[in-house]
Amino acid sequence: MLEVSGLEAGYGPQLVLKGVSMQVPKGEIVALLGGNGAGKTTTLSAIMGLISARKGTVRFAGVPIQSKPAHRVFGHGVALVPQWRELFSEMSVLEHLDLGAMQRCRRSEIGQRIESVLEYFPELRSHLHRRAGALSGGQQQMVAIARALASEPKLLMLDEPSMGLAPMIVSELGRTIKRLNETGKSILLVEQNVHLALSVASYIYIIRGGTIVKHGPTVAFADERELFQSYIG
Amino acid sequence: MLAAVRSNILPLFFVLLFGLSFTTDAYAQYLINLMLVYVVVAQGLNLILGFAGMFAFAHGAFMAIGAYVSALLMNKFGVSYLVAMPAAGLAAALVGCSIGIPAIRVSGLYLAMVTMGFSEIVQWILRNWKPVTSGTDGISVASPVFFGVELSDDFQTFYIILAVCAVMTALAQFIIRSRLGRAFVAIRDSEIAAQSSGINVARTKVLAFAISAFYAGVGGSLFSLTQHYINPDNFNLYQTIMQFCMVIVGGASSLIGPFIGATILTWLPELLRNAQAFQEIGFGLLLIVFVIFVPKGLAGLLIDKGILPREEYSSRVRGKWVVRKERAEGSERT
Repeated sequence: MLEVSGLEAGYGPQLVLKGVSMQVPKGEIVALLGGNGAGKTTTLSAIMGLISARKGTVRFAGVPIQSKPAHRVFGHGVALVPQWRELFSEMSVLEHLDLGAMQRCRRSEIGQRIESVLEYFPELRSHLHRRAGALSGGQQQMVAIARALASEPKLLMLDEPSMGLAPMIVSELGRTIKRLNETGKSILLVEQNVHLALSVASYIYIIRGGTIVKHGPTVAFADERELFQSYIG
Repeated sequence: MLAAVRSNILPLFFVLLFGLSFTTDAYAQYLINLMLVYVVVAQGLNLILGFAGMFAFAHGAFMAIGAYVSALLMNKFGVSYLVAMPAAGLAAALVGCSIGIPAIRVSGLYLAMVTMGFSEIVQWILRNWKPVTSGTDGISVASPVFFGVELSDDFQTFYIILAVCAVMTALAQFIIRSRLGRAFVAIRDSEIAAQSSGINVARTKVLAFAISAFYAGVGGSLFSLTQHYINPDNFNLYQTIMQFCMVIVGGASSLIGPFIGATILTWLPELLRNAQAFQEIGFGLLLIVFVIFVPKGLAGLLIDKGILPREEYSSRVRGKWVVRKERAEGSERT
């Protein structure tokens, strides 16, 4: 579904990604693990079109998307849940869902779309008219994922969704990610939380210094926690 | 009863002004007209500054474009005011669009500097393109004629200004609750999240410029009606600062904010009439105090206290199916 090959990207004169190659097969959960400054968020930004790729290709469902701006990449069915949620603090939960849905579906279908998203996050039903800025961290993460899901993406990219959440909420988040995957959604999960990644992903990539240093099926990493510690810290 | 007043405060404001027009003297009527003109301009500035979060500093210039286009169309070509006013708005929107395209590359302080530079260019043109603008001598503005009746005094023009202000306010509310309004708020709060939600940020910013300039252009045209004579000094930096004060004091990102701001800042100078020098210092102090201590403005303060309703960014109709469902479950508002 997503094929990244030899991707180079960065900010100004600084080159952060130095030839990243990875794949997300259809219906799979793939995790990209790495420490601070390894290039995880930059990888997602380059795939999403938030920053321009200097070299390499990004193909989604066979279509090259590396030179397209973010709103066009989104139009292809790729949604990103940014790091730290990035909610619109004055908007209500319902307005977030509406905003997510309205970009990729007809007016008449928006209600149905919101309803289907709320099935994943029933807790949000009682907060639909609350401002997103007034919610707890866990609820805000739900809103951020729900906003992305409302566009019914084919590929959902999550940038460190466990950041700042209590362990119990992280476990619940893991279950939600699995449930989403069961409906056939492809997911690219960027994490520092090794435990969460191991519990949900079927394939793991490890990034360090802007390069993929190791990758393989999750089962191959199951006993390699120490290795993770050395790469991720 | 209170809830009905709370949710219909703007229509009530217009009804109140309509009623007042039967009891005011000529000077008070002039001030009411001027206040409504400022409401229109401040609504436009609020759309770009309050809702879209763009620090544009050119509304005096957009207002000037509207005022001069409208006056010249009427004076030189005998165009009806009904045509001249929207043409003034469109001319300002066109210029807003063309300044918006290069300006979207910068933000914050740099955007303020770019737009301020544009304002100075407009001032220079107004002062030096004498065959058209008459330079610093300014130009007289013909009174509009409707169905053979010349509307020459403030009591007569009030009805035009009130109607235009009501229409522009309704339009602002429509924009805020539309897809575009939500895009404005989204790019203000997080460009990354906005782009990741499929919003074309560049196009949204240019549209914010164009719409906001349209409001200033129409406001400029109305302003020329209230003054009967315009010159470049009417649209200098002081004018732009005053509009900023109206939005900041009244409350940015609130539809009611510009009404509060325009009301205070139209009547306050009248109270300080005997202390002209203090007026500009007073505006500056007011701006500083509000930015530091009341950043959401008076409207924001009243919204936080639950006295005014919070702005809604989505269509109530579209949300109806959810609202119906949640009635049974109970959903709290914050």
